[in-house]
Amino acid sequence: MTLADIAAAFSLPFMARSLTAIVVLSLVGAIIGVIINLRDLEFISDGLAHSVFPGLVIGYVMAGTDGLLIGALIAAVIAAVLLTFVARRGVGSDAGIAVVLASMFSLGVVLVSREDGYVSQLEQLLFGRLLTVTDSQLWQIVVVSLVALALVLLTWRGQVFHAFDAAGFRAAGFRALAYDLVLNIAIALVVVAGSQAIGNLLVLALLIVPAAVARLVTRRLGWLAPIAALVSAASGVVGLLVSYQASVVHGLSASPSATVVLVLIVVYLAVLGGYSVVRWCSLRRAVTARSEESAAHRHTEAARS
Amino acid sequence: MRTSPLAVAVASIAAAGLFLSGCSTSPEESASPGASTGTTAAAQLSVVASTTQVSDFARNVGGDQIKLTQLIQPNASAHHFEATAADLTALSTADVLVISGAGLEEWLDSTVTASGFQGTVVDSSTGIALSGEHSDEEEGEHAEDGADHAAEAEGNPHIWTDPQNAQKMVTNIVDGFATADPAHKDSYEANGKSYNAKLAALDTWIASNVDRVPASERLVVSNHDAFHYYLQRYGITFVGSIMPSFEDNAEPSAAELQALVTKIKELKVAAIFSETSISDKTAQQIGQSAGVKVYSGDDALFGDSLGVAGSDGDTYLKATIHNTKAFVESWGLTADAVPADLES
Repeated sequence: MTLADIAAAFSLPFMARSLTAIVVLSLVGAIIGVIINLRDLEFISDGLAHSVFPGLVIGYVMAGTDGLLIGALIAAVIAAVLLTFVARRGVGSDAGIAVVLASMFSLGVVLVSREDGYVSQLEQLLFGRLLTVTDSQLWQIVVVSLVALALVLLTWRGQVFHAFDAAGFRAAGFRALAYDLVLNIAIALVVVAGSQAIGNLLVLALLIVPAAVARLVTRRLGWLAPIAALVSAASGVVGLLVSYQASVVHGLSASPSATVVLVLIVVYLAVLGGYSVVRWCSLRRAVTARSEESAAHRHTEAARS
Repeated sequence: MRTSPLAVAVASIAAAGLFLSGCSTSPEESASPGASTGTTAAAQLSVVASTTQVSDFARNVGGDQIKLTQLIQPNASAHHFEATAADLTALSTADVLVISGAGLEEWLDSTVTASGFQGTVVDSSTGIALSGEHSDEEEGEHAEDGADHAAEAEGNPHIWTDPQNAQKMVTNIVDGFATADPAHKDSYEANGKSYNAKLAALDTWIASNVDRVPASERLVVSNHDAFHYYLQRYGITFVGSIMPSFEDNAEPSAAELQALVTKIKELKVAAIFSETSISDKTAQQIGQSAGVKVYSGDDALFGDSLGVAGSDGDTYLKATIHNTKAFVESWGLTADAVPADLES
């Protein structure tokens, strides 16, 4: 595939829209994902993704495709508040999150199964339709994503402080509850934004995987978000192209959103492999150095006696 | 201990490179999206057709004059469809989009909008009177689909199952092609005429077979209510369908199943029919409970979609003959030999 081919592919209106959607979502998801990663909130993010689902369904049942956004937004705020309090209970909070996750998701499935022709709707809500994103959906994605991004960027320093020193954070007079709420709402908003395009479940990958990659590549805080964003956006573009190529040239229909996620996973595995190799080498070096050191030490001891 | 980020990055890129080189395609075979019509557009009309049936009609009408892309694949549902990048690319440069219409293609609007299709839509259902029920009750969705579909979404959308309707669909396609490509008007009309003659012969053949069965014994239980117009045309009684809706994976409730089994036993229905595009699991279950034969697998009906190339139902004519033979056989008769001109 030459550059001209790539340009031609993305000049098709549906590819241009898909590209915009995936790039916006991956950038915002990656940046918010850094905080999720630092604060170990992966599971609560999963809970939020599942809890937005009944909102999507209710919105869809009540007003068709136009109702998706408003239904999901309402559910996102409710779920964020609910999960914030559940997670604050500390002891057994994972169980609490799991209960909320399972009950909200079941509620969504029960509601959608009352509809005629629900299976394909379910499929669309869970896995998204990246290629048929409309202009108005694209606007929704951009606006909702930017709101989520703004929430996190405005509280960034506090969120990082909280991640590294929760006790110090409270001692310094920050209100942890407010920060938790803002973060959870931001996560839920990304889920909302991503639901229609790449699906309620797959959007989770955009939140979690890029930050995990960045954590492997660098230990410097300042680099985490840029690396995560770069990895995520690049995977989005590559995934979209791979699925386009598979479909147009090879006649294989591969879900573009799932392909994007798989590319992300491949990058993660590759980085994990690279990280392990480098770590192993440096460990060996350290061990060798230490044993040489102790040998030398013994030598001097022996000489001294 | 510490790891150098640079080293991690280099090692990762090497690994990713290895992986991706396995996936990359040779640039030669990757045609740029515009090229598909760029070279042929002058000679051929670029046509996208939605269902397997209208694709078959379009192929018969268009012959070599058109370059056809078929959206729905053989044995797939006609009610739900997710466009691939290749479909959308074909649609973005197509001159004509042929649809089955009558509210069948609920996925149509978003697909057309996404592709940026600029050509003409040929609605093959134009002028066909609808009857029966459209199972879809989601008012919200239809309200949003816009006014152009609101009027036609009333009634059962499986219009092609009646060969007389099929003839009207063919005529609509002929007109659509002739308008879009006046240079080959004569060819389209001649092709349409000869194909419609076959459809008329098919209609006669079916009628003569079905007429040998007493009207009271012409009973059909099918997987979903896909044969409404066929049954109506030949005076066949539709006892019920297994699926409560047109959804492929919908599951009937236990009470609905029981009611259907009771009805089958009461009316002494001899067999129930599964469809190639739908799983026959529930049909088998009902067949067992009611103690009747289940036509599934190779014997299943071609409802929503025609079969794959080389199968018993890869064209509309063959599929309809296959279905008719199955119906007649279930009533205890053997269908007459098929007229020679329909065998092609």
